[in-house]
Amino acid sequence: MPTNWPPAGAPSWPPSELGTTWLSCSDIRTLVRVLLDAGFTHTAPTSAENTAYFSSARCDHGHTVVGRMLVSPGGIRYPVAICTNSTHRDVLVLWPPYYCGARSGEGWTW
Amino acid sequence: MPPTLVYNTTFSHGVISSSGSGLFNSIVGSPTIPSPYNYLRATYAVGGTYVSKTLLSANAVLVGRFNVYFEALATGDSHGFFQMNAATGNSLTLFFYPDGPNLIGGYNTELSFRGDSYAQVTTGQKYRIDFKIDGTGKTFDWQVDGHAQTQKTFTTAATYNGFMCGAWSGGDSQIVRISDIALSQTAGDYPLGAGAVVGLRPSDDVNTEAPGTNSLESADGTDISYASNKGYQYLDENPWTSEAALDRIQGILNTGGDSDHVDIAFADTAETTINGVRAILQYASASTSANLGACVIVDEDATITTLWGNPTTRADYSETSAFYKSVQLPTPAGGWDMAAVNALVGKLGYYTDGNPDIYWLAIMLEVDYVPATGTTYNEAPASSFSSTPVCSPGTFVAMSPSLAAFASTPALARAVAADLVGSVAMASTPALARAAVADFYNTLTWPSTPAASAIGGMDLYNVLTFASTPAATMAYFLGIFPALTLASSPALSPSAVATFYNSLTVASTPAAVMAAIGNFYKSLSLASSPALSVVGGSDYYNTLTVASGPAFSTVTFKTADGSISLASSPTFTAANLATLLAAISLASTPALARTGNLDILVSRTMSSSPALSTSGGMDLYNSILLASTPSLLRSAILTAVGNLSLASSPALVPTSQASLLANISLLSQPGISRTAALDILLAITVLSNPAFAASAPAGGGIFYKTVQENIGFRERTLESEVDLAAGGKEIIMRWIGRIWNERDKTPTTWDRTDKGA
Repeated sequence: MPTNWPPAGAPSWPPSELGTTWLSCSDIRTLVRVLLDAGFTHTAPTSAENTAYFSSARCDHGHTVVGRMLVSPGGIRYPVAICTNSTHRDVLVLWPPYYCGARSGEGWTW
Repeated sequence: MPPTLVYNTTFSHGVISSSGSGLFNSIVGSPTIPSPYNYLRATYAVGGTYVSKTLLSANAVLVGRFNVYFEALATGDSHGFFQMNAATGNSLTLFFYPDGPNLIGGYNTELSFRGDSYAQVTTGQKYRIDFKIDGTGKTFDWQVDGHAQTQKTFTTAATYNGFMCGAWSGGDSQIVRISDIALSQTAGDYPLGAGAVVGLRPSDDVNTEAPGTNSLESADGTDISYASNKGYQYLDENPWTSEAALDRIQGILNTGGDSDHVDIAFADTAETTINGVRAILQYASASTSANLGACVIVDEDATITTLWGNPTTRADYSETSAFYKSVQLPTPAGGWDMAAVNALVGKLGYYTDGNPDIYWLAIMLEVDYVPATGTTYNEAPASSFSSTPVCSPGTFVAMSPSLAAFASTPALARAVAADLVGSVAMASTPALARAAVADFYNTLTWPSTPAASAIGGMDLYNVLTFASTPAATMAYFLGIFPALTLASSPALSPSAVATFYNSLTVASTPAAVMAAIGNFYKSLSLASSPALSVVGGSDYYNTLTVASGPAFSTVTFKTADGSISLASSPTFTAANLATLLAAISLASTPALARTGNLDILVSRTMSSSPALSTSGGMDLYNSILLASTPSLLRSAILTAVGNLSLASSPALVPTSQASLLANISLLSQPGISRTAALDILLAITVLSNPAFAASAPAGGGIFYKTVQENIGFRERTLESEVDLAAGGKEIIMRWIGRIWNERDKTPTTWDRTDKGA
């Protein structure tokens, strides 16, 4: 399990704008695609968000992470993180088990 | 050529999870995989209920096949149920459209379309969809149950890398099942056609395994052993659970197990036509620290395919919940077949870092195959069918009971059955088989069947030996013809039908069959095929043995005939009907049938077809053995004759009338008939008919006699005389009678003469 993840202050998942009770994805590319199709955007976290969500978060292998904010059409900001280890590249998400597994963050740049 | 699949599944693992991307890449809402774990079930909910899967690579061409089964249809909005996901360009979604006739259609941002009648769907029935989308050629081809739909084109180039399926983009309830998905990226694989996917779970260990000591174990710490603790039993859950349960093989710590492995055999398949095989793995670890292990599939060529890590390049298994990997296996050198599938072995272990413990939770194969005879598709009972393209007549007979369910069978199965029927040597096929074929055709919806199918049906009929076919069978066949859209196959259909009718032994054909024939003729659009249709009709009537054909056959013909525009088919009008009537063996025809024929003649508008009416009518009368004809019928004949415009057919009519009257036993006729006969004679302008007149005495006298009736001991004769000197207006009728004495054979006679003007 990731450490300090999911952050306590993160909005509930899935986004209410999607109108569904469940949304999970296997990797960051799929997640972004699904959300972009639903009208989401993404942006760099603010300093406060970095502190609140990402600074202390670690993947299940203990790697540090970099964060990104997924912004719903209603302006709600959802955190997602990718571990910095070049061979692990785990993605930390807001649905159980809260990570997507090794290499799930590969092939994607913001 | 066998297809080259890049993906196949029917969800036989039973798990909904996006973890590890081995099963799905995204899950929205709550789709399920219910027992018996061979289809995905999606109940529409706000936000959608679906899964998606992304392929390893995008490609301009995506070819696919899947089955869709509607438990409940949307009643308000359209619902998507399958989408070809675009990596670039626009995805294309197949929808169910509830408005109108419940059609399947498609949509992307550039086009919206609906299928034809074969794309009309209902609940409780499985439909097979084949598709090919070409993002370079910008075309979309698709089929429903093997029936090609109109190709669609779009304008934006695209590449495709996966699919999603379920129920979305609607506003009311739709419950859909998706199963037997197969995908290819080879254009020539379209259409993939009938197929099914079956899951093969572990069934044994292979005695090549080397599980080591304190290395590969079951969850209780017991070493895996081919002799005493086989590993397969810990990997064969059905369905897979989604937890790292105790039912597992574990690789503990790192005790030099880099060459230790457990070898797993899978349940054998009996299928012989294999399209592709996909392997799936469920795994986890005791904790989240990195570790390294492997799981591979080895085929009959000893080719190793990595499922998750291999003995050279191992993979991290460090997940504390169940994760999933899958891989499409490469086609062996000898191609996929039953032996190739049954030779597949899963090998797991080879771990160099077993800290934390690695858990192999479950492993299985999903095999896409073409079902063989007797093998049914999966769970939906209403649509179970076999799809062997060709089989022997004997096999066909064995199959025939299932044909009764064809009304609810997808079009593909019907097409396959049609192929089958075409290959059967029907002449040597027992009546039972032919009856089954008839049942089959009877259930086809011919109006919506393309011309090719109709041609197939005709070919079938041509090869049938109808003489030995039960009446019920022929009735079935004939019931098909009215439904044919002859306009779409003008050349073939009428001629084939005519050929068919010519082959009928109508003598043994019951009334219902002939009624069907009549209905067929009524349905013909003669205006569009005048020569052929009418000739065919005449051919038909020529072959009739009306003796066993009751009145309706002629009545039916009359009705049909009434729809014929005689002016546009003069050949038929003048000649064929006469030939027809002449060919009827009225001697053996019951009175009722003859009445029907006469009704035909009487109903004609004689003035518009004088030649036919008179000649045909006369031919008819000539052939009638009036002696055995009831009085009522003769009355009708005379009525018809009275309507003839004899002046326009001088040569024939008087002669025939004379022959007619010569054959009438007027003694058995009531007065009215005799009066009618005399009226006929009055109408004849004998002077203008030299052939007839020559037979009469010059200057008058008895020129015509109707003789005679012998009943028991009685003999009666009528002689009639026309006074030609009086212009035919003076008539002398002389009655001569004898009664024979039975004992001495001497007659008692009388002779009476009436004279009038």
